[in-house]
Amino acid sequence: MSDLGRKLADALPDAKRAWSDERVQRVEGDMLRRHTRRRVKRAALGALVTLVVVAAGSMLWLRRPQMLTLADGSSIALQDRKSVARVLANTAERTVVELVSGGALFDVTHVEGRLFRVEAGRVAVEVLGTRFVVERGASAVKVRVERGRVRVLGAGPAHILAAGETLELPIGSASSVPSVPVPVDAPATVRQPAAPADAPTESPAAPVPVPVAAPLPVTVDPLAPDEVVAPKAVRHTAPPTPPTWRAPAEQGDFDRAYRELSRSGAKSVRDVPNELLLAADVTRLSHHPLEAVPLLERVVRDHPKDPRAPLAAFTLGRALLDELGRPQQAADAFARARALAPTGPLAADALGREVEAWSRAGDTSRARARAEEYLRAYPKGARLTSVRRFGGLE
Amino acid sequence: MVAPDQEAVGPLTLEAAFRRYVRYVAAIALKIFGRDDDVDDVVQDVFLAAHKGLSGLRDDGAVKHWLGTVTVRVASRRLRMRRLRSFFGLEESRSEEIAAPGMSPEQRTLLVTVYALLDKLPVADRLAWTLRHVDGMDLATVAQYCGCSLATAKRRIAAAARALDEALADE
Repeated sequence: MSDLGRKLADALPDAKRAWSDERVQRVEGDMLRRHTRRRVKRAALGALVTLVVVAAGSMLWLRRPQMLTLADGSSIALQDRKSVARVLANTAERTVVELVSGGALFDVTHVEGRLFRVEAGRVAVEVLGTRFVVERGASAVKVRVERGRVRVLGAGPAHILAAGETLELPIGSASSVPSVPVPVDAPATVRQPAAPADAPTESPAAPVPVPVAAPLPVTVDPLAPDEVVAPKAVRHTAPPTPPTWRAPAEQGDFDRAYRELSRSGAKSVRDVPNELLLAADVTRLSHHPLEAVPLLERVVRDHPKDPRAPLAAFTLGRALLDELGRPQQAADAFARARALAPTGPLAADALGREVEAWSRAGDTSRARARAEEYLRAYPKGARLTSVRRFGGLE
Repeated sequence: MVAPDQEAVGPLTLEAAFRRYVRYVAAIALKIFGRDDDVDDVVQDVFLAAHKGLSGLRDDGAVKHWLGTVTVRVASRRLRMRRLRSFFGLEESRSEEIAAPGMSPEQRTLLVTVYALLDKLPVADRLAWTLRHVDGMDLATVAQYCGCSLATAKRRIAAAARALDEALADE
């Protein structure tokens, strides 16, 4: 590793810290959705054949005990030879399976906007896709939801847990002692009972019964179809010290940082450039660019000699132009960035973007003048093409 | 005691592979691109491309090598596409976006400057140099990940180093 390489490595964010459990979960979810969409597309012909077979009345393609995996990764595992199921519909919006007889275990992949429904006579079970973990300790049961929502029944009122939330209930206590939501980490052991012979189940499991040593069992249900209660936050019995916005921001969790920042208010941002820039990053990267403007303006106005001021001005220009549609103010900001550091690393880009900003503001003469200046100063600049285009020099 | 690289991992599903190795892949991608906001997409592309090849791998070292190779391939494709788009004026320079909260201004300046220079190098040279000098990989691993011979890897690294030295000497 060279000296330069070492400096770069030191400057870059640490991947282990930047990839919190929440980020891992979010990106994993996005990836799995893309994966599912690809598989659905590839299996579209297979699904069509299935529907044709069903429509033709030859119907019952699942007679023997077997596992069927649908194109989206959902699986249906028949319990025994007497169990029969048939797929009535399998489209991008809904999958409907009729359990004709016997039982089956349904492991449902979450597909955005797709309803998975199992019909057995007049009973129907609808899920969007869930995955959760139940751990039983010596004195408590912990439930952690990785995907979807579940209802947890123990002492006191039912708890609705959403993905990423954890609840711990003491087995023998007369009242529940909820814990704080914790990030999802490596899955622990999951116990799933076999599907009962005479009732349909929904994936991933029917309620997990806990052998009751004390009088208060804990049960976990995937959310029933008529239970449209919005997931509520798990209550804290002993509120922990609330995290400030800085810690999640430094970990790259900008959505959480923004929530904390909103809660703390503007006074929680000290008037030092580093903190103003960090708070501006939080608002921008959580999709609240308008709130970044006063923070960045404070750096430029109150700390013009700070080495970070040109960066603040440039970032302000970008927010005004790209996210807020204020090209004239953006042009001024880019000009300011250049004025603060005429030979700095951002000077060329700032001039290039100023050309674009004037053009978008409708001031073609200024755009042209700046474009000509760019071509003189940076004849091999990275923005030559766009500068010529926006400056009217093509 | 089993050495870490030879640790048996068993057949991996896409989800299990992702959770176990995402930070490893993300670290390589971050050093190649120099900006964190590219990494999410790159990581997804890598695992989606690599997962079919994972099923036959049984030890930790082999999985990492496979993922590393795919990461470099995905990164190469993105960098070439970006260069093509830039050539046609469809992609703007984003060097100023290299930043992370908490980074000192000196570090930001260094990253902006050097990655702007790396953007101008041939993609193959850039990748080899970054893996060797920023990620600290040994030459054999660099050659494997880049899909080239050891001699070619050395040549690319040297070419990139010369170009960077000349450019930085002018700054």
